[in-house]
Amino acid sequence: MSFLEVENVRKDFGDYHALRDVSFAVEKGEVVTLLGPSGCGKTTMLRALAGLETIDRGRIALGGRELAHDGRVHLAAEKRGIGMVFQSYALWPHKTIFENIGLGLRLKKMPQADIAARVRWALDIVGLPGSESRFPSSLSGGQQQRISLARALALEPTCLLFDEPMSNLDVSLREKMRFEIRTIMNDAGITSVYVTHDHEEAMVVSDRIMIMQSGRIVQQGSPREIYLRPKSRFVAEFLGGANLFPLDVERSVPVEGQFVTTGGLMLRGSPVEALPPDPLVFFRAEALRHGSAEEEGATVLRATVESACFLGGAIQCGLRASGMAIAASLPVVPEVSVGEQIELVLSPQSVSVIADCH
Amino acid sequence: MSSCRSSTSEMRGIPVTRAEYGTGTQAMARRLGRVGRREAPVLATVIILFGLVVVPVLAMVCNSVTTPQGGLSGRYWAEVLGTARYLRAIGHTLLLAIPATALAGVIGLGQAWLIVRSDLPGKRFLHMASIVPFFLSPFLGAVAWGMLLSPHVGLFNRLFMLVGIGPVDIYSSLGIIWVTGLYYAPYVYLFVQSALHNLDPSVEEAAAISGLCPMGTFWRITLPLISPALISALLLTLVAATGQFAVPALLGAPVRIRTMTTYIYDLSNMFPPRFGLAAVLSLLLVVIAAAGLVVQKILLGGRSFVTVSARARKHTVVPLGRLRLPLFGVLMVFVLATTVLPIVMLFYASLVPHYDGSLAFHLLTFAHYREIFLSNHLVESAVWNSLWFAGISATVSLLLAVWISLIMNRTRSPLRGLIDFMVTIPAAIPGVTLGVALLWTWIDVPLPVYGTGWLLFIGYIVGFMPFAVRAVSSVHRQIDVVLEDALRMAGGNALQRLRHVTLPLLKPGIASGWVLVFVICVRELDVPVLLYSPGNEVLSVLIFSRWEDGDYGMLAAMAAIQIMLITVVLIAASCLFRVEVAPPTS
Repeated sequence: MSFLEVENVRKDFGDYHALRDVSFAVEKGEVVTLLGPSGCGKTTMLRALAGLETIDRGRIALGGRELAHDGRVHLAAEKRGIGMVFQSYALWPHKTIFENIGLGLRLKKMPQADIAARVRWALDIVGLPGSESRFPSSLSGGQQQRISLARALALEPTCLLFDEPMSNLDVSLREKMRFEIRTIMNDAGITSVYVTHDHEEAMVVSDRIMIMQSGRIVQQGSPREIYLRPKSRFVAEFLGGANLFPLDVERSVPVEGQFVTTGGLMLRGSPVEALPPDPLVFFRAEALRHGSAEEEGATVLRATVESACFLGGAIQCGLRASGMAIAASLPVVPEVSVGEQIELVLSPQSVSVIADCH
Repeated sequence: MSSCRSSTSEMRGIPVTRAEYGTGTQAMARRLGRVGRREAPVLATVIILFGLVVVPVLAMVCNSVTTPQGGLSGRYWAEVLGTARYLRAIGHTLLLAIPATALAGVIGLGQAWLIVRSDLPGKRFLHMASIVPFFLSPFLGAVAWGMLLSPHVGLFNRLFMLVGIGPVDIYSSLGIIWVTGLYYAPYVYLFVQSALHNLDPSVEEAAAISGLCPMGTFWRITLPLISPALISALLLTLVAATGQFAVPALLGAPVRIRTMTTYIYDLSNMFPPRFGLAAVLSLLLVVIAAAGLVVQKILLGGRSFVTVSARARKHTVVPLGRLRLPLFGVLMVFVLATTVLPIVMLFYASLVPHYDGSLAFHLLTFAHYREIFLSNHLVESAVWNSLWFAGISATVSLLLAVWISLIMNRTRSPLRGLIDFMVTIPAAIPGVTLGVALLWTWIDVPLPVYGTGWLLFIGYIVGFMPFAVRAVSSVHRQIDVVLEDALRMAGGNALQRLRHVTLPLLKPGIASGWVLVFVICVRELDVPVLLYSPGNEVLSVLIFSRWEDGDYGMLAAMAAIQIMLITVVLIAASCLFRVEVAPPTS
């Protein structure tokens, strides 16, 4: 039995099906992410875990205790012992940092001296020692989010929920905070569920990613699995930089790893036993490399550069090969220019076949 | 419940299998029970509001179509709509209200533009001074101007006569229009100045870049953009000016200028009272007010906020050049007219033994004040009554307002629309009308309300609680519910969330709402004039009755005390809570 169990959860808002049938399990100490575009149901799922939203069907259990069951059982949010970090930080503007972190402890009737010690401990963890007497409005967005995290940690929750905690921060701060949160979570070892629509953030913070689409979990796995072996067009495209081409089933020989797209492009990939319905050939933009390498079984593509955009870490190119538009993310050196003919190789390990829909 | 239902369906002979039937009703009963438990407090609120607000309106309708014998009859409607003096009163009401609204509009719009947009000196002071007439009230304004421009004892008229003009008679239609316009201008001012503040400055900058001069920008860009706010302010003022009682009663009644409200007062106060006719006139007033409010709501509701920018940006200040000081002077004249002269007038009259229009500084005396606090128990108790009624009404209004605001902003109850509607009804009921309606409602209720202080208290609550609701709710709407969720996640139950998060954050709204209701209750004449009972006289009622007796010295002393009460509360509020109380807009 897993630490956090979610079974067949459904939730409707009127005619809108926010959660259609969501099941997943989280082990103790694990950090998982619900990743998906806006409106996919990830925030509703998180709020249902928190107890801020009731569920219509299904079951949620934490550490063997039933939190919600079929709309009959609903343990109030304040009794679940779950912590939450909100997108808008949700710090109380009329209270000092000390009061913000200590209020929950005070409501638990903890002695004043212990509260002070615990607040200090929490502030140390998030790297803002000594800010007890300040007010939230005097802190930057990043600092406020750390206080929000400290407030959740101070209560020693059995489980911690993150609702898009970085989306109000600017890009450079967001990238820094990802790693910090990951470090803090590793050190604290608290079971966590993290919600975001940013796939890079999800990959940094989580042990396991669950991709949600229209109220369902469509794929879950480690960041690496999800990125390299998406099961559907949706997952492949959501994680960015996907090349997808419909497969010509007649001319392809899947068991030998020979794939021909309907446009006539020939690609070599890993052998496949059985094709899914509506098969697509898939490879990532960064799987293409310069050169006419002699690698065993590699595909060599001769392409015309139609657009090239220098991004600093890579050049993002639009190519055309055998009449097909291909996206490629190439190294900065050698330089490529529009109109140039280039030769690229594609390793068979990078090419796979996925279903057009799940 | 289950057995009861089953017997009825068996009687109807509806074949239902046991199993199906049992689970179906049980589930439904469970759901109904849950909805019932959740909605019960909301339903109770709806019932209380219905009793306080809707029943008086129904009583009004009832009275207008039933005879004292209890029969249904259209004769009161026929009498009002077929008698020349009532028709004249309706016409007069509108002929006074429309020019008064226009005057308030010109003053308010001018003040707003000059204070928000021009390089006038002393803007902060002028802003405050533009609002003060609201607190001073049209009632005391009429009292003071009645003394300044009385044809017999008017101080100004004495001066005018020295230079060979006048006398100017304030007891006239023009007098009523002058005082009403001056004292309703703050409504227009507040609406327009907030619209001007919210206007995206880049819209006007674009006009300037396109080659429009400052005046062209005002007429062709700014004015059209703020017109929804301006028009709705004018409509509100028109509604208020149509339903006002104090000014026409003080300045019109003595010279037989009759309006609908003064007729309603007279018809209810004569013996025997002619409630049927008063009810018809009241309903006509309510219809006029409701129509105005509906149009205003449509105008404001359809307003798009595209020109309102989220970021606060400084507006460019329009330099007035050579007109700067003359225009400053014009605004200062208004400050003199609305505030300084009336207050000086009232204090002076309260300090001379017998006010007769002459200046007699060597005779100054505290005799009237001494009389109030040492020998005249009626007036002394009126001072305390005013304080108590205002304080308790404000407190109860605020408790109700917080409760209603919680329902409106933090539940998904389907009854919210109904509550919202009922809370807006009092805005369409003029004070005197509310007074008669409450009299009729409570006269037959077997509770010790009629003829006691409770009736006056109920009048204050029904009339002014909506201001409290608006003050609290507008703050409540801005509190992100996630702040309450955050305390839930930290283990706080509903009461703890209210105590630690919601109420502290609502404090500005609660404080300004309390002060607003308190001040309105103290200054108000229209509501208590029919609802007070012996022993429960409040200051404004006594001032009014002394006016009818011509006892200027005593009434001026009472007015001075009323002004001091309001001033102390406003200053205390701004020091203690740092809230700036403003008349209600929206």
